[in-house]
Amino acid sequence: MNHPSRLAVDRFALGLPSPEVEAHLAACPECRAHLAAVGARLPVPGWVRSSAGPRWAPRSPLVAGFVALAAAMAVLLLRTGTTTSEPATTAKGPPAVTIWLKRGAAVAAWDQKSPLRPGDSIRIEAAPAGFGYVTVVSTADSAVKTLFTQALNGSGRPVLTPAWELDARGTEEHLAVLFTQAPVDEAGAGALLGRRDAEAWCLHEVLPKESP
Amino acid sequence: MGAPDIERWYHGYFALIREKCRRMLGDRDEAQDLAQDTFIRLWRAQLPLGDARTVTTWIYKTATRLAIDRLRARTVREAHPPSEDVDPGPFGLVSARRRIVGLAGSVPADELAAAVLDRLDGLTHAECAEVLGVSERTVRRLLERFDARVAAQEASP
Repeated sequence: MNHPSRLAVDRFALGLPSPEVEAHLAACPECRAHLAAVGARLPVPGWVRSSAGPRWAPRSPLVAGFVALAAAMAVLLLRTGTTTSEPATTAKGPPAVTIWLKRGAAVAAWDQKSPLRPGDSIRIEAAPAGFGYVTVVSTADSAVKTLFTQALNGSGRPVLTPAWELDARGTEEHLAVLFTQAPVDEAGAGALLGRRDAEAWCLHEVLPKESP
Repeated sequence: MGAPDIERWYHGYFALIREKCRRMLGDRDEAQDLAQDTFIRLWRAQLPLGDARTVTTWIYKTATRLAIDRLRARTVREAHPPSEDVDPGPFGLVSARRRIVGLAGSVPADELAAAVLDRLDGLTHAECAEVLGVSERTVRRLLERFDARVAAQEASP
């Protein structure tokens, strides 16, 4: 019997239609067993959840002052509002922002005072508290530039941005994290800076940087 | 992008990855280890969930490359490879795997990858070409070279 490739059966198992594979499976217990094996719903082991940390995005020319970073990292958090030893996981209360920071190979918590250094990398974790969209913008030099935006699908779960590496330009990075009920473009984001109500909630972060 | 998200990916793809790794390595423990490595790379690759064609191509390519690295390390590290404890399947798996393992330390990686996909996974030349990102002609050439090496090895005293 000529069997379809394992790739063909795997794709069929994942929902790609194939009349040839379907016809073969009807007559081949061996391939049906493979189909069952790849479709098995396995219990989720602990290493999976512990691997659910930050996913580092590919490099991205999002805005002057930042480039995306691909690297592993441990955690630190700086929260607007409350500080906790766990990343934000709740949708209760107002929206909150967690900044994850990596400096070289070491990770340390930013004390909200010490200047960050060129080469430091950050990711922002935004707990939306029921808002439908999160948008991160740079507000340097009074110009609003969108760095990241994502619909939240009502999950209430935190959203993690790509990683951005700080360059040596300037003495501060100004970021605003906007939580909104509707999507916003750059022009609309500028009008929402500082707003905090049921339709939009803005958290502004100023990150001081060491002079080169 | 937290635990619930990665669990969806796990339920969607891990069993498939594990089966693929078992076919390549023949040892359940080593295959499980490789499957975890492949899955974590898949999770970090940020491929579109639900795009079965893209994801399976990525899995086959990445898992194959990682398996070849392990097979080569195995030939250096161990005089005796792990025992075969996986269902041989429909493609003459055990004998094909022995040939591939026996040549892993001396055959170029692209030849090994083509041999893994063709002989262990039963891929067509077109599917091999898709996974490896080469032409079908190149796949045929890689397999011919691999077969020539196998023949030479079997002919040697």
